[in-house]
Amino acid sequence: MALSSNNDNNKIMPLKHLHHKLVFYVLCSALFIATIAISLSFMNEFNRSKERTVITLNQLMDTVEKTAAIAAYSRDKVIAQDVIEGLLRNDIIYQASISSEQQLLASKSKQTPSEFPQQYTRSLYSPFAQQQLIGQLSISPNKQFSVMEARYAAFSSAASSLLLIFSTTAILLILVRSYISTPLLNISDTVHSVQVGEKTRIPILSKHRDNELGRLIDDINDLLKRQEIKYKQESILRKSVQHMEQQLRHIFDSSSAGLFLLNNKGQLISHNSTFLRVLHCKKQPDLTFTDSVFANSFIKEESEFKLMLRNALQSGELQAQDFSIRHNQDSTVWVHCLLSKVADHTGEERIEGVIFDVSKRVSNEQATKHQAEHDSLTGLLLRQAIREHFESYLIGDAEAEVSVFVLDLDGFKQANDTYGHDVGDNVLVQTAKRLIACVRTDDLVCRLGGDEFLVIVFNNNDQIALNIAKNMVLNIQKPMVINDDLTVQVGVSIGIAISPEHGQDFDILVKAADAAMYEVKHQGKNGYGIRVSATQINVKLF
Amino acid sequence: MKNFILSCFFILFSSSASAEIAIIAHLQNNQQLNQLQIQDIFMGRTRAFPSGEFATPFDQNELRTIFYQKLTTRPVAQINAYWARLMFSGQISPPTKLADDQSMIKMIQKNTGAIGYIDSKNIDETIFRILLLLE
Repeated sequence: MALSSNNDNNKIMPLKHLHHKLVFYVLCSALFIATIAISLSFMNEFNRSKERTVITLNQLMDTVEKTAAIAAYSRDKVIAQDVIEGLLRNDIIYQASISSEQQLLASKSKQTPSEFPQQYTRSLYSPFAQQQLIGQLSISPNKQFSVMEARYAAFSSAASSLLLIFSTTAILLILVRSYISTPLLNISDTVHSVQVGEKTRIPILSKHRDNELGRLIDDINDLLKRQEIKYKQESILRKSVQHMEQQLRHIFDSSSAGLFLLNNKGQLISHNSTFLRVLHCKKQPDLTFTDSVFANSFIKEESEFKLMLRNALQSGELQAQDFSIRHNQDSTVWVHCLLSKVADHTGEERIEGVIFDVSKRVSNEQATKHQAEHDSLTGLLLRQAIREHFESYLIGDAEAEVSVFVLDLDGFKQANDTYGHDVGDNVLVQTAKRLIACVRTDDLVCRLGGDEFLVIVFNNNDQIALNIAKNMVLNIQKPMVINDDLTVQVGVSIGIAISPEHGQDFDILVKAADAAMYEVKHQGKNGYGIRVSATQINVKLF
Repeated sequence: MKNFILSCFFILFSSSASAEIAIIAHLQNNQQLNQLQIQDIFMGRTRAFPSGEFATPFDQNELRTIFYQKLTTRPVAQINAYWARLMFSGQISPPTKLADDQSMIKMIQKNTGAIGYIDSKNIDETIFRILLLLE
């Protein structure tokens, strides 16, 4: 994949040939070096030419010295003129003159203008007496001559260098192109056309078998071979992985448990299809789930779920709990949920969860519990259940005022005996309804057994308790309609005990209320009584 | 080599001939000249005595070789070559050549500006004046 895209890039961009670049660099550096070398040689040649000029001048003066001395000695202008003209034939001399002691014998200079010439002089001595100074020979060199000489030398060396550079470069270009670039291009084209895992190999070039290119081809072929083997192995491996993945996916999807994964904030990351079924969720696009906070969307007891999630993250231990589910149906759906902490491949913390639908089990349990706690006839709580409620309430607030009423129906036994058990049961059911109507919903009404009832009113004071008791008496003494023909009337005796005034223990309070109730019965029935001191119980009859 | 043989010859010759040469002038010529001034006159550098009087030098065949050797310390061949160069330019010519001492003496007696040379054995100060003796 990567290979082919690279090659596509190569095709789009125009190829910058290696040999062009190489030859360009060689040419540039050769020209650069040649420029330096030529300017150095120019300067060198210039200096050398200057030195040579001085030598040549001296030699020329040596040549003409004797004749010039004779001319100066005899003051012969013709000979002097001859000498001067002979000297000026040389390119190197710009001006020459011969003078005897008193006068200038001959002088001449070239017409080409020159800067103020440097003058070289030679004293002329008499040809017959060596110490006798008789005149002077002076010549000035042509200054342009050294420059011209140097320039000519530089030019010829430049020309030969350039010829050498360009011809060498051209040969280099051809050689690099035919020995390196073209074979490389061929290799590149072949590699370009190779498909991954194919048997194609690059043909070995006989000319380059033993050099770097040959090695490159060998290496590429080796690589292609290994690539092919690896590709085959990988495709086998891929197939088996796919197969395994399918099986795992099948297990995951067809599992009877809802499986899901949450991040550490409680957001749903993934789930299987059973998960939706367990939650009674219609098939929805996964995306809407992915960012939802799981508890808010599905769990009714969301704060408890969040606590459980926190526990699972902190302890790292498996957490299990039942939850009810938010949905549109009438019946409550219960799920059993297991959470455990896992770390994914990046090391991030995740919560793995399993949920089962346990609605049936929970509803069975609840029914059993309800049956155990409630009176089957009146639906009121039984004594044991009410004790638990009472105690858990007092644990919450020990100083709270709680009133306990013990009630016993007056005249129920006669009615039961006279009209039968059905009527008696009816009276009990109606009594239960009237009692419930007299208290708030949070208060508890319980059947102790027979025609005895227990009412607990939370969070009140003496006055309210007495008012409630009065209400109860007045309500229950009203006639009860059994059927069209029969109306029954009963009364009630109520004993009241108030926590913490009469104690905080359930049994003590019930005993105190019981005692008050018996005092009411003793004094004449249909009323309520409450102990006001250790020896006295106030009773009010209706 | 040639120079060496020649110089050997001159040495032999000069020792066999009497060595001294006298440079002479007309009796009326009262100039005082040194060797260099005489040399300038004979080699054509000046044509006048220091006083300004015109000077005419004369050569003679007999003593010419020895004379120039003594006067200029140069072999006569070089003197000839010198004159050959100057004659080519046409400006000046070498001194007129006389035959011997006798003709030289006659020429000096006739000519007040003349200057010449003779063998010192022929010296006669009554008929000419001796300017210089060359050893």
